[in-house]
Amino acid sequence: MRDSSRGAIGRTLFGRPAVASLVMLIAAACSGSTPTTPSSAPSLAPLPSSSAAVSAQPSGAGACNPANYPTGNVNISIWTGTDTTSQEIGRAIVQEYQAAHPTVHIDNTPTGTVDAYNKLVVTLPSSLPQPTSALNYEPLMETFIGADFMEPLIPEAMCATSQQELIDLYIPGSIDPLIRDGQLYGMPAQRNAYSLLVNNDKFKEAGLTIPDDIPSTWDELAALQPKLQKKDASGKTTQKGFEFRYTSGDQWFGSQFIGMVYQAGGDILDAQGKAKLNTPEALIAMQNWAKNVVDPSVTNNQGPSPYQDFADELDVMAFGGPNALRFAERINPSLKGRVSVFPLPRAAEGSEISGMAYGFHMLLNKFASAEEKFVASHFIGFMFSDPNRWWDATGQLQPRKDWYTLPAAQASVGLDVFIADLADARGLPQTSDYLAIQTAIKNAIQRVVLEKADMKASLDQAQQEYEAAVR
Amino acid sequence: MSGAAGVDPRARGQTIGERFRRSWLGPREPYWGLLLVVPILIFFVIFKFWPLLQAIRLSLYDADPIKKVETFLGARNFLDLAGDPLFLRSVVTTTAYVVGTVAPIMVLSLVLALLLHTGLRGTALFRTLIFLPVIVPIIIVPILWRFLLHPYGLVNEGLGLFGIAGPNWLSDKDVVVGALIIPTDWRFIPLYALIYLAGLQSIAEDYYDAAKVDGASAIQRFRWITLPLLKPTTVVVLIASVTFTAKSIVLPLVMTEGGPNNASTTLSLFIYQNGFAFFNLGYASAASVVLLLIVVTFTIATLRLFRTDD
Repeated sequence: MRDSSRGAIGRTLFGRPAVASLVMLIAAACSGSTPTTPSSAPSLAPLPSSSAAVSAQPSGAGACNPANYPTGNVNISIWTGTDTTSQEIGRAIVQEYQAAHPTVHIDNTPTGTVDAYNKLVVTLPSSLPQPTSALNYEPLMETFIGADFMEPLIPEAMCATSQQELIDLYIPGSIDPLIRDGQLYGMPAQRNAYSLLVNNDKFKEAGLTIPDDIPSTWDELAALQPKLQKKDASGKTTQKGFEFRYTSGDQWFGSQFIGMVYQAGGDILDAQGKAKLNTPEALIAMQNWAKNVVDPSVTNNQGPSPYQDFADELDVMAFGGPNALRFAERINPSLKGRVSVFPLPRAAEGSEISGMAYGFHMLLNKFASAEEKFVASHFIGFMFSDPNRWWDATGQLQPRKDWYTLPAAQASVGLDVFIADLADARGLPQTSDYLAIQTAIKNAIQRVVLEKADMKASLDQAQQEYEAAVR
Repeated sequence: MSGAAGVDPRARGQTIGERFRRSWLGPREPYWGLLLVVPILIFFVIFKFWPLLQAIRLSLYDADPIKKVETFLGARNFLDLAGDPLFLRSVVTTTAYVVGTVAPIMVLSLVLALLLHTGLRGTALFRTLIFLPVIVPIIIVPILWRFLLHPYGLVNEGLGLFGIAGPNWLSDKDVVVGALIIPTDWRFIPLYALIYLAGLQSIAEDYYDAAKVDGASAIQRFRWITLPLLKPTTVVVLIASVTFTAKSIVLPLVMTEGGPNNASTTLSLFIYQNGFAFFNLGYASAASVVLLLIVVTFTIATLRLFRTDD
């Protein structure tokens, strides 16, 4: 079970740079600017001290007035996230920006992740200039950056003198998927790993104690499931200990499974950038997944509300990033103060990798005009100039150096755990074949979970399906 | 008596334009008819025929829309389709989906139309209410039915009242196609009922009056008058329902995403996935050509079958 001292170490991260340096993942260096080759876990540098963070902030960020800002009327279109909290803050920021820049009109369209991807796949090969900027799911970025449809952000638009100055805004290693040959291809709206959210009351009702009984491995979690599951007189499940997400969209299969492959010491891409889905590590991941299947059909999770079951207190524990906690509290305000955050269970004790890291980033359309790209770059910088505002409103974590040390950040529930899991995580593979990988993984898991198929055979079939899809 | 050689006697006294119209368009076709048809013809060429020709062309290539690379393969895509278990499964799934959807449509739409045709009090209001599923935005349908078909949703709760244990509609590969059929019928039976109703209202009452005089029962009148005279309407309903169901993608895409384990992946969803998720545009185009051939073959066969009976 969980070492109770682990939480104590996590809670004092910010006050102890020496301890913070121990959080850094000691792993082989990322291969860096060739995203299609397999990379080892990112090596996040120690979290900086307060003075270092403040000095790293470019002057004028947030209230930046670049010298070459277009003087004529400029219209830009942006696609932002569809979750309620993001929509609200997005609208507010757009209004503020337009008020400060009356010659600029921003057409803000909340667009779902997959919907945005599907539209970009059609519009960008046709060299269309819209949207000027779009929110993109990290593993899908390679499709557009690799095909030269996207451009790096414009440093001058953000009052920076170089790309490196923009990159230095962020904790080293935290935005590697956005960097190509030293160029920054977007800014993160959020970058997360998964942690374990625990409903304190429900957990204790089962006679369990926090933090001693909090599971640190998938095996320990599986052992808790019978204690936490409840059924009514008719046999209908009314409470589950923990459940993976089966009805919130294909991405939930891919991201979590890939993270569990990383935990087992494996990788998804081989040296040639092709997926290998039937490795021994993938089998371990599937075994860990299957151990924690409770009652997949009992769920209210949907694509727009993937944390509904945790919010409804159907699930005692759930996996998710910091935005998941905020989302659940928004649906069920009574959860505030009743949820603890712990590191995500791992494949085995001592596993160095916490799982996978993912993000959503605002990319810049290459085919927009020079003025539109300049204004869009400036707007993107403005949009994310206040990470605390995003954190407060949405729970979305931006890995900026100049924010973690702020008192407001340090006071946030679970932030130390979220950051620790992020530090130990590896990014999702960036390949234009990602959707084929995701689909094959989904089918493999559904065969095992719903049809009780043999795990090895299911993974072999997944590999065949992937190879057929990317012929 | 004929006039000068080559001059149609009927053309005497006519302008050049009138003579042109008679020789080119026939004696009864006015200019304005052609003018009215041209815009829609242009629309069809741009948005229907040209994309169709492009799809046929792409089916002969290995085409990546992102990399903008095309490699000529000839019939290779079609040969690969013939050996692709996922494609073959999608054809079977689509067949089951179409048959399961169209059979109830053909029967229940006619029954509903007959009820509406009775002219009983309240049928006007009833006709408006039952049409609501047709006018609901299509995206609402799968979202609504995902909740209704939840293991503990209204459908299973209703079945439970009759002592029937409802299945896991969206997670059981044996019933997931049924989960597509039910909302499709829910949405389209009222539409086709109105088409049948229009057909029923076009049948002259004289036939029924004469049959009653001859002593024909209600069933005999339905069998020997209504059904034969509804044949043109039946052909329309059959062809339209098969065509629209075969190419339907919204329900499998949004309700089930083709799962579990491709059990609800219809041919249209297979085409979409291969074209826009896996970037195999040529392969997807080949599958779309196969779908087109299936639907066209069925349509031609249906038209000939009903024509033969005449």
